[in-house]
Amino acid sequence: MPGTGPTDAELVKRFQTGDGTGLDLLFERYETPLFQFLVGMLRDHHLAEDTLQETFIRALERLDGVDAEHLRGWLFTVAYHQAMLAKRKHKHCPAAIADCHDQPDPILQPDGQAMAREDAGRLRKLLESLPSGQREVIRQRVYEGKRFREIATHLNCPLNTALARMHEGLKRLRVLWEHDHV
Amino acid sequence: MSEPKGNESVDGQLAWQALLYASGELEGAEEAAFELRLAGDQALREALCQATRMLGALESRAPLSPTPCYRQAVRAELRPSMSFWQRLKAPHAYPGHPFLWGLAGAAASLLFMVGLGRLSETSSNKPQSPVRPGAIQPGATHLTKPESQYASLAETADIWAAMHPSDHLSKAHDEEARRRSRGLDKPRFGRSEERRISSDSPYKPL
Repeated sequence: MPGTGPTDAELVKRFQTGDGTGLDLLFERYETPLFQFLVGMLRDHHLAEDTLQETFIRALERLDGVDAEHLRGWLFTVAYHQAMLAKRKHKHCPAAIADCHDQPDPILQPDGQAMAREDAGRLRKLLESLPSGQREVIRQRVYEGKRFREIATHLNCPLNTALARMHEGLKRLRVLWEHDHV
Repeated sequence: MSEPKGNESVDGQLAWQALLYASGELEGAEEAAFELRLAGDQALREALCQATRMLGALESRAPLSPTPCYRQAVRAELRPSMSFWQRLKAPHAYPGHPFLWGLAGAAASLLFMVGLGRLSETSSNKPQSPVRPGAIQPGATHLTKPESQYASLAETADIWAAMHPSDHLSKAHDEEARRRSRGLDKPRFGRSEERRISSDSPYKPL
């Protein structure tokens, strides 16, 4: 729960009394982490968005027995179950995922493409400032599309080492990225 | 369920597992075990969020936030599930202060009560139409007690007497006297009242 602004309990109370601002603030607070979690589980943006919608509906319909102090955990639990449901459904009906892909992807729109190209160019520059071990893992993973096991074999190191370098490299990149934007 | 630790403080091992999972590199039993742990481990969920965000940023994938249009669908779905009282109590359900609405309700109730009172007053002041003897009044029941039945007959006789010449009056009183003599009725008027009625009558004996 964020330290500033109204608490989750206050937002839930507002929502339950029909105050629309409660729901808006709940969306703003939780939609991004939930969406990232769902994309991580489903690896499909459109399916993740549909599942996010179901998650909010199911979670807010069943708020009565939920301690508002644990709202974040509750939302993630519902998101997890909805994602598993979607995975099972699409395992049995793969055509549904194909239907999802028919919708235009934001990355394919001209503005999105330009922004993505610009960001990618900036990231490449920042990558050069990382230690060689981290840089190599990230380069092979992102630009050569190799799996982590293949990277570990190629660099002759354990899988966990490759993962640790990737993780540390990404963290450092993030700091550099934010510093660069400021 | 463990408490959330926040987005930044994710253990290394969790983070690596999450990276592998988000990259689609966990398979079979490993993937199933990871997903089983996701069911109740908030720290692992946070690690997955972080891994997805990092990979997404690095691979320049589509923005890692949803389009806001899904919110409308959620609102539309949740609105009918609110109970009547919840909607009534909602601050934005109707404009103005609730006190004003309460005051307006009280005023409307008062007006209604005053109107009802006046209506009943008017109907009670309306002159009653003369009742013909033997006529059955609407709403009259035949299952009345004998006393009340004869009392109403006596009253009818008096009304009849007030409207007709004295021969009819004497007839009616004779009838009443007969009934009284049989002990079935209590006298409604004293003699002086009977005299007053006969003298007040516009119809004088011939």
